[in-house]
Amino acid sequence: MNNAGIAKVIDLKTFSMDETCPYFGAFYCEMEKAGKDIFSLTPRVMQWDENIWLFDLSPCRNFWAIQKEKKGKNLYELLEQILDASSGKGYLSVFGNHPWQCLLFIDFLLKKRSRGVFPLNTLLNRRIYEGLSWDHWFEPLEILSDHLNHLKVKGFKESQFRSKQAQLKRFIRRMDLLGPFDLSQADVASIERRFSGWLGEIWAWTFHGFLEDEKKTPDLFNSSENQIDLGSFPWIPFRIEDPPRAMRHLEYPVNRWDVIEPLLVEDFSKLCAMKSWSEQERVSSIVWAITLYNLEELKLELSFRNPYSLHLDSRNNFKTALYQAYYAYMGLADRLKARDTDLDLPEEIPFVSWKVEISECLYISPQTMELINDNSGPNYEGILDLQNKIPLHIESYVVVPDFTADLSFRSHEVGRNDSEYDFSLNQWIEASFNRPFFYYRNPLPITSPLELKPKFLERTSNDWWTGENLMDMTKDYFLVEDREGRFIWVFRDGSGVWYKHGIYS
Amino acid sequence: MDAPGEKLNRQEIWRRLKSGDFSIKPDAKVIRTGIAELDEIFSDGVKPGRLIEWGLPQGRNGRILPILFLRKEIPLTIWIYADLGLDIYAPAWASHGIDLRRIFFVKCNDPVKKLKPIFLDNTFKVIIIDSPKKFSKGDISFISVQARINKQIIFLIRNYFLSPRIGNPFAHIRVNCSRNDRGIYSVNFIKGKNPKRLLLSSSRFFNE
Repeated sequence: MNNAGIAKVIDLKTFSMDETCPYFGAFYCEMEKAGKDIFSLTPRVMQWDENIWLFDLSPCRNFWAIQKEKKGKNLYELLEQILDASSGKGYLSVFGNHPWQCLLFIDFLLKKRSRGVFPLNTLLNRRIYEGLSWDHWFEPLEILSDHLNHLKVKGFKESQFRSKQAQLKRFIRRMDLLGPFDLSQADVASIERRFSGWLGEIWAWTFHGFLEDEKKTPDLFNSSENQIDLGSFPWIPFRIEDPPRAMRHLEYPVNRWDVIEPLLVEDFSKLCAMKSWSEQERVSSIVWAITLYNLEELKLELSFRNPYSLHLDSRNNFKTALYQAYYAYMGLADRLKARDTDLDLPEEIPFVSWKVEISECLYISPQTMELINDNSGPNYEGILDLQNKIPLHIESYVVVPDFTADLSFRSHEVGRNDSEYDFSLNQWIEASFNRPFFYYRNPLPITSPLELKPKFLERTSNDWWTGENLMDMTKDYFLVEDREGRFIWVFRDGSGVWYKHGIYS
Repeated sequence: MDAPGEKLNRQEIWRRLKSGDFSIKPDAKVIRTGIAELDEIFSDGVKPGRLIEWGLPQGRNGRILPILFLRKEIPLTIWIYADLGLDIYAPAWASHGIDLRRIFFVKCNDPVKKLKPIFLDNTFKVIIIDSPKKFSKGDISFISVQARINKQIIFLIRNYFLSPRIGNPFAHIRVNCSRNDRGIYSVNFIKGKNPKRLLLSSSRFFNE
């Protein structure tokens, strides 16, 4: 039967508010021993307890976003298929923007005996999360305390942590509060003051991205950086026992790149020849641990923004990996030069040995490989490859509908831009016709430019219903020619303060 | 100290220099602004393999000119801009007809040293180097050779007006552009096939 013409019923389980890739996930699965399958979604994994694993998706967000677009699927549908292929049925997975939130929600779902994939950014799941009871909030604290103890985190005392929890429980009983969101209006500082810094920080993790004021000021550039500050969350990386590694003891000390380069090529070839990993696996980080002539050991990280195949790079003489190694080497040489000016050594301290180890690798099994379409257009693959070869981030942007000038666009993952042009954005784009090509991300306060006869351009208004101060509602934008003859984009806010917001370059 | 891959490319450059395989095909695609006077004066000067040097000081709104070249059937383009405290305001680019799906940006002060793979590769058909803080004569020579090898168009934007007294033998066209307080754009050719001055009203580019 042909399903093409059948209208799809909206699935509340995966009906997302946005389609951006989450930063973290919690995964429940009963398995005897964790194998490589646990790295199917990301190379960064932590074992939370016997059966629960945490995923840090930040190294692979772009990768999954691109795969999703290539396959034309809902992101969570794709992630579900990958998990089905790697772990079979009977697992439970939650995705969100903080591991603590994923842990709270997975605890709730486990008690309900749910199975499958649950993104925390769907309307339904957000409402359920906001209604979680205190039991679900207190339960993961036990294991969190074990991890903090294990890491011997400075300033953490288990006995004090427990007594403050008891104090918080008494407070909740007295106030008759049903769940954490009943206290969401309390500020972190007051929770820290009353119930210790640790409970205050955990408190902040619970609401990260959920409160109105955080929604109002999204970080335009967060998606490009692909990182969320975990604060004091005890992340303990789970590693497979024997990662592919190549040792090299040099016959004589070397410090010149043209000598190091062919030796590194040999080491990368050695890594590729190892049977402990396959051609399908995608590397996101290689550790190059160097021993200097004075026996000092230094670790350099060769990191790749888009997980890539070292095996495929071998056909290109490992150019991508070599570029990363070269930048790391140059950085190290500069650091050593600046540090060791007083030592009686050659200009750069030579290396006597090193070890190259695959430290982070996305595991793609043959079953998963079938789900990933690798035949993309050559141009975007080229850009992703270049992104791995250079030390800087390649920026890409999309326009989004918003009345506020600096929220009317956002950063966009490279390689995801091959979609159809969205004509509904035309009116928003037209509105920017008299704005400059370059702007200050943080507007600079200036003295009133009225004597320079500013020319009025437009009035913008923000989402007044989300703010507290109605005076901040509008901004009047002007074009000003300053005394040096430069054309400046300025605005006057509701309270009459002037700001420089851009330059007509 | 050589960056990885550089040796090979030098050999490739010499091989091509010896064999004379540097010619740009006569049908190589010329890019145009769509403004008749400008296209006439630029003639077929902006085409693959060419280096165009622009004198566009900040605040004079001169960057509209190189941007105009990108708005029609934009090839994959990368705009490398120096860190002058400013960031890209993408909607303004889109409003001038730039397809944001095909233009990428990198913030970098020393493009040839840090972004060498971009010049060694032909992924991007147009490369704009905007106000680099570090850019030697050797760097100009390198990018002009790479532009010919990879059949790329390279715009080198200077944050000052170009002077006819100091030449650039690698650039095919050298042009200054700025806007005055009466909204008139002055496009002043210093080097090129038809060196002359052109005045254009800003109403051609903006709603003024």
